[in-house]
Amino acid sequence: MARDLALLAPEIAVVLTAVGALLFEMLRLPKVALPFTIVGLLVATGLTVPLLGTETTAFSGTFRIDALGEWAKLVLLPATILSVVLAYPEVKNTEREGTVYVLFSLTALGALVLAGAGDVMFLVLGVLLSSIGSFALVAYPADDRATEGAMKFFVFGSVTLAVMVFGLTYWFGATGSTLLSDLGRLGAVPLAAAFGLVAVLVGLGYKASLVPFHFWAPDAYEGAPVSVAAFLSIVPKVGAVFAIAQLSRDLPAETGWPLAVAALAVLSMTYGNLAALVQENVVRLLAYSSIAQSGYFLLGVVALGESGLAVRSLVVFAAAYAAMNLGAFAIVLLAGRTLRDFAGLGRSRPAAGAAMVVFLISLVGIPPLGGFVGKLLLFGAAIDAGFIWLAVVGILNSVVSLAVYLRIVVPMYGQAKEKPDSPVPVAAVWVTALTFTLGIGLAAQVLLGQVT
Amino acid sequence: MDTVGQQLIIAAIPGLPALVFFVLALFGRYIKEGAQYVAILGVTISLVFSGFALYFVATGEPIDFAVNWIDLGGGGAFPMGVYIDGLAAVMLVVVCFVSLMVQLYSGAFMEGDKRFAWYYAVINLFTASMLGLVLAPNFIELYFFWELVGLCSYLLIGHWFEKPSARDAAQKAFIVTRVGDAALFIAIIIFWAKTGTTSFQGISEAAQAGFIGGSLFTAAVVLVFVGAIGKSAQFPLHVWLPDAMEGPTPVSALIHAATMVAAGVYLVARTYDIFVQSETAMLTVAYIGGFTALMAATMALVKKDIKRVVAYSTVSQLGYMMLGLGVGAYSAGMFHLYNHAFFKALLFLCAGSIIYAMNSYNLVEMGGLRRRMPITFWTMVVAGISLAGIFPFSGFWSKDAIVASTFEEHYYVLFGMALLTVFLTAFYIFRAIFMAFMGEARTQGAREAVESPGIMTGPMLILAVLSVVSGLVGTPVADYFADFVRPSEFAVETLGVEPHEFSIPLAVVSVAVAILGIGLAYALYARQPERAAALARRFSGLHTFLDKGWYFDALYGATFVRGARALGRLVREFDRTALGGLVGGVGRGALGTGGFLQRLQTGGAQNYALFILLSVLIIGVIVGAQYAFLVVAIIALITIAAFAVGSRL
Repeated sequence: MARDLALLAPEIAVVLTAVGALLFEMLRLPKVALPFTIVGLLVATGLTVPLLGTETTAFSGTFRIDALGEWAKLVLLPATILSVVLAYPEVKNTEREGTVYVLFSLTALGALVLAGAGDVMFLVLGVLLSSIGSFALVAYPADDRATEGAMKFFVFGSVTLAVMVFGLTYWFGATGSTLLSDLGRLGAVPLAAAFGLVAVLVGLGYKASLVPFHFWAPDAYEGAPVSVAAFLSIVPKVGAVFAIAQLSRDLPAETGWPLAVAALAVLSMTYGNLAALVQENVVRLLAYSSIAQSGYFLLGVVALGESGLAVRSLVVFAAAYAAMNLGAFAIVLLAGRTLRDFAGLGRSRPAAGAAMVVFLISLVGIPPLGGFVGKLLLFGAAIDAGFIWLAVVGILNSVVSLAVYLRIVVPMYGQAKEKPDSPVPVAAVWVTALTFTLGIGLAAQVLLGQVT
Repeated sequence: MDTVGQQLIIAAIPGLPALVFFVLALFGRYIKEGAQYVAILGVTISLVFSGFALYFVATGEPIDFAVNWIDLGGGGAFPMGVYIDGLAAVMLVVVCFVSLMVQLYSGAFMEGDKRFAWYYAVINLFTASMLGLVLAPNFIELYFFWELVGLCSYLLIGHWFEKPSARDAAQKAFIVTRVGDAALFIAIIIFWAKTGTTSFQGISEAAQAGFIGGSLFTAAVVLVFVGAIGKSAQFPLHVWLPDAMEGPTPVSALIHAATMVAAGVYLVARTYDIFVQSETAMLTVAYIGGFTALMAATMALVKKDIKRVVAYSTVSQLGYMMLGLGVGAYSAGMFHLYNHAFFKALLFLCAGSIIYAMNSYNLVEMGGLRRRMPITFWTMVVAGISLAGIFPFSGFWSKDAIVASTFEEHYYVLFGMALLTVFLTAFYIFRAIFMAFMGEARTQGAREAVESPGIMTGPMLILAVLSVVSGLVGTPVADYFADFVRPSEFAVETLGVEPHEFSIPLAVVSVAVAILGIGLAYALYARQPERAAALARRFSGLHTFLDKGWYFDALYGATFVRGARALGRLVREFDRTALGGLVGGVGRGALGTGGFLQRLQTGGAQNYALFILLSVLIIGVIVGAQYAFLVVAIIALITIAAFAVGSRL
């Protein structure tokens, strides 16, 4: 028991952070809740470091302490911290400022639970935990747009979750266990296996905003504060992708999961990029782009079990993706939400403009940036596992994605408008994101050497 | 013999321009016009070091060293390193030299530009990327710099981003070359998956040992070539290069002479050992090259924009180089790349000089500049003669070697195309020269033009000298170039080509054809310009067809660009309307949450539920496809039906 609790120290720290911040909020001290949240999450990140390299489970195999789970914490907790910092200029002096920070922590906890799940009940718990907080975060501005986005998100989430729980009962019926490690028994009962797999992909696909479960994403992102959109496009998404990975490790290949995941990857990449090509709103454009990026993630998932690169590629791409996407959203917060707001940004704020270009070309996957290294490893893993065609589709999609991201870059160097304000927290976030985007690319070995 | 000192010198060749980039990018706003001195100092040292590298290679073994960038343990590694043989050494010198000339010239040409320091910064990053590309011993490192070159070209072509046409051209160049890049990347990944290595040498050896072969190997090699097609602007990805003329003219000189477009040809030469193992790939290279040479030459015939004439000429000349490589004339192809670098850079600098003097690109607005700008005139004539391939100018030696090789290797169709291209080349370049310099001045601008300053004519004169003599290192009497830049013994054995013998009859024919072209241009444009105009009117259909570049832009615009956008809109509309009531409502009207909930009850939510279940069906089909396709489909269908019915009750 004590051992199990020690292994869960980072998660416990996140819970305590949330509870503590909530207390300060009740005392009407949001100015304390903010630093408390940041320090708490930093401590949680720090507590993860000694766990690196551990491969074990806690609570009778229901929760996994492995490379995926540990790296999820090391990537997602800092991403949450940066989202919190980003949120500050947006929500400061609003009525319930402190609750936003609390909800960030709780939602992040849900994502961590997903990434380390060793039991299907943890999958359900993780999806729920990361969803409920998100609904409230999206609805926070309480205007019509936000309400609409949150409602859509909520209705969609409820239905998918119902489908997921329903399908999981088939697995339980077939294996007599809720543990992921017992999923191997499904090989004998193909029908129940297929049914459960479909249901799980629906639930996790919704969280990871994979096509065709992505409908809520553009509207929710558009309605939500920019910092929340940034957060949703990274933390719950990476958590869900890692959850699919946890599941896929134990699922026998006869259930057909590699093909199903590959199909979702193709759909997400292609659909996301094509839809992004015609968006006028930068937040929606980035929403579709993040749908496409989830598709790239799945290239690493299909390779699980077949290629030794799979886990490493997922981790490296997650880190790079978190950095570049957060950075891009930070600049959106600075410049504005429509393409027109980006006009002249490269001239009125040259540094921020240049950083945006770096984030965007990293999203395309151009060397020597983090996005390139991540994608190189993902493609390598997919090909190693025999999915050459999937890598080809991914590479072709990167051509379309260049056209997508150039749509933001081109107006940036047009006629300059007035200089947008650059609040210190926003600048801090993009500078940090830029450092990591460049660092993960140039010093990829430093990160790779740590992932086993 | 690779001492540490030697390695440092090699590393400094691309390192110095890269350093200059950082210095100028960070402090450019303080240095301002002084940026040019920093930049020129950097590239001069690089040039000297490249000379050392040439000396090292000429007197010893190829230089080869590497360190691991990414080490995947058992999964292999991606090294970063350096490999310099004769080919790479010559390229280093050419790139540094042309870059130096362009940077000297730019000091005057770009004077007063708002982003003067930034311009020099990017030019240096561009040079550094190209030098890095030349040094690369493996595909991943090459791809690294390959993309950087593309990125820099985007920045340089779009340097005057106030002009919408410059922005569009930059974007077009980036995206079109990116198509080639994607193909190259696919090829790299295939090679890596099948052979476990990305080094050129390693892949060639693995292919010889049979680790990869058959149609997959051919496909991969052709994909590498598609990458080269994109960068070197060969058919059918040539459409970006003429538009790239929107950039400052010295940039065009750099892009066209030594960097960027040369990268594609260099890639084929660098990976020649891999290419020769696939006959299909070699034939593809030869025919694409031959066809591009002819096609681009016809496009250059009617252009009114002097820079576009020269731009199409580059596409055409690159086609020659590919043709040479494709038929096995490795040394001849690379020799042409080397000679072309000088005379093409010169042609662009001459065009830039005219533009500088009279602020117009249009040949129709020129005329009579011979007396106003004598240095520009004579240097351009020298470059033109060299391009046309007249004995004994440098272009003659390499072009003749390529044309003769097609004949000797019995590719008679290609030989015919190459010879026709010789004629067209001589015609279009002298058409441009006669229109610009001969006759009477046709506008006020042309009457008032004055010769450019010495800092511009200086580099032009140096290049003019080289355009005459650079070929002398590769004459049939003493062919130093072919001894130094030669294919590996493996390639020679595989191809089984005879060493090229200089053939006087063939040389006479090709020179005669070129002189014929010049003569026709003289008759039509210097003697009787009105006859040329009459001809254009008489064959106006053909004239427009050529002027529009065979309608490639229109074709691609209608299919790919519009197609992708239409698909995107379709997808967007689907997202918007598939969910019907729910989307249209709240937020736009004054309905508020109450109205929203009402909607929810009256039908919006079913759309969601139905859609999700439809998606369940899709995934169910995919999952079940292997063994229980029908069962899953039926179950999902029943579920959907149950929900649909249930929600209506």
